Amino acid sequence: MKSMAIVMLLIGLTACATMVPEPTPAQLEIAQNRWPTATLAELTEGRRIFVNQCSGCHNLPPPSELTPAEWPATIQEMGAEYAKISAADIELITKYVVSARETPEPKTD
Amino acid sequence: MLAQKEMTLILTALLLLVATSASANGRNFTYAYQTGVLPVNEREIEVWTTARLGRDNYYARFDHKLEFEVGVTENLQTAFYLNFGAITAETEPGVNASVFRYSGVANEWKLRLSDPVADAFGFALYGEVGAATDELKFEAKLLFDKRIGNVLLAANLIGEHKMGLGQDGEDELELSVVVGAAYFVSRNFSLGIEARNQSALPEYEDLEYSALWIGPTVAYAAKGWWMAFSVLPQLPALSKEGVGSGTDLDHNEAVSARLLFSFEI
Repeated sequence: MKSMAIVMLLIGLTACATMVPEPTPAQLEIAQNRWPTATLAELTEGRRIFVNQCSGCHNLPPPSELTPAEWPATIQEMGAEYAKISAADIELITKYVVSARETPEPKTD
Repeated sequence: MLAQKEMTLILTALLLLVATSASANGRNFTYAYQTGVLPVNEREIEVWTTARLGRDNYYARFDHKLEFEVGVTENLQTAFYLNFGAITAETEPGVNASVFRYSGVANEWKLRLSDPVADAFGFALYGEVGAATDELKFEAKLLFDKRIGNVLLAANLIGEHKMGLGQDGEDELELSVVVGAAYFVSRNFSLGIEARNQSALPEYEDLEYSALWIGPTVAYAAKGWWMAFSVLPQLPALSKEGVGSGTDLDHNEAVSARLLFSFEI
């Protein structure tokens, strides 16, 4: 009974989708509306820095937590003032998070 | 007595450092570890206080841990800490005795392999080596956590080998499972529940006890510091002395309360 509960828990956790999706071509298109020269590699790097740096100080907030208008100032404040992240990395994080926030979730049906 | 004063001064000085702090790696539970690690070169101090109250006779114990954590790589952190504490217990009917003691030093490492928000679930490996005058201990943990909406789940599987030193020293295996669930009332504030089961097998033989604690936990994080607090009463466990069930007040306390306070340096 115990092992069954543990297995069910692990299956349930594994089945949960990530709240910080990997960048896709669809997200890149949205990012390029704001930043025409943005690349998929930049978004991927922005996600990596976002995950590793931001989760070091607090629970990682999913992009859906704030609006696209709120994110840039928040990332700038937290990144520059508190986490001492470089300006270049703040830009990469902003590109990833804002475009992820604006990308519609894929339909599951 | 002098040692207690010194410790009080150290703790006070550390608390005053809060004014200069910037950020820290918050926890939402007091017993359950989460998979997060500090960014590279970030440092923080954690001050732990655990009150362990009530055994078969009068028993009041306060364990303190002073921990220095540092991020080593993007996914690896280490920590060094000093354990000390005070116990007041009934040594014979109507007679209480108090003792203050240093309980050794330890070094821990945590390797994050996945994140609870960015990945399907968070997973980390944890290893710790501790040394005191009367024992050495080696502890390994598997850490799991998962954020689902405003809910954070955490589970730890723990094995600890204690190696007694000296003529009377004996080896012991401790196995523990810790689980927790927390709800984020706001981005900074969470309410939750924690459960901890600990079993001991002296000399790797018969089960000496299996004790179970469950209770509420609360956590608050701000820029540069965080705190978490829990009160866990002991409930009847699966086994006592390997037979039947009931609370174990021979080796463990009726209530355990823990306060964690941490800040970046």
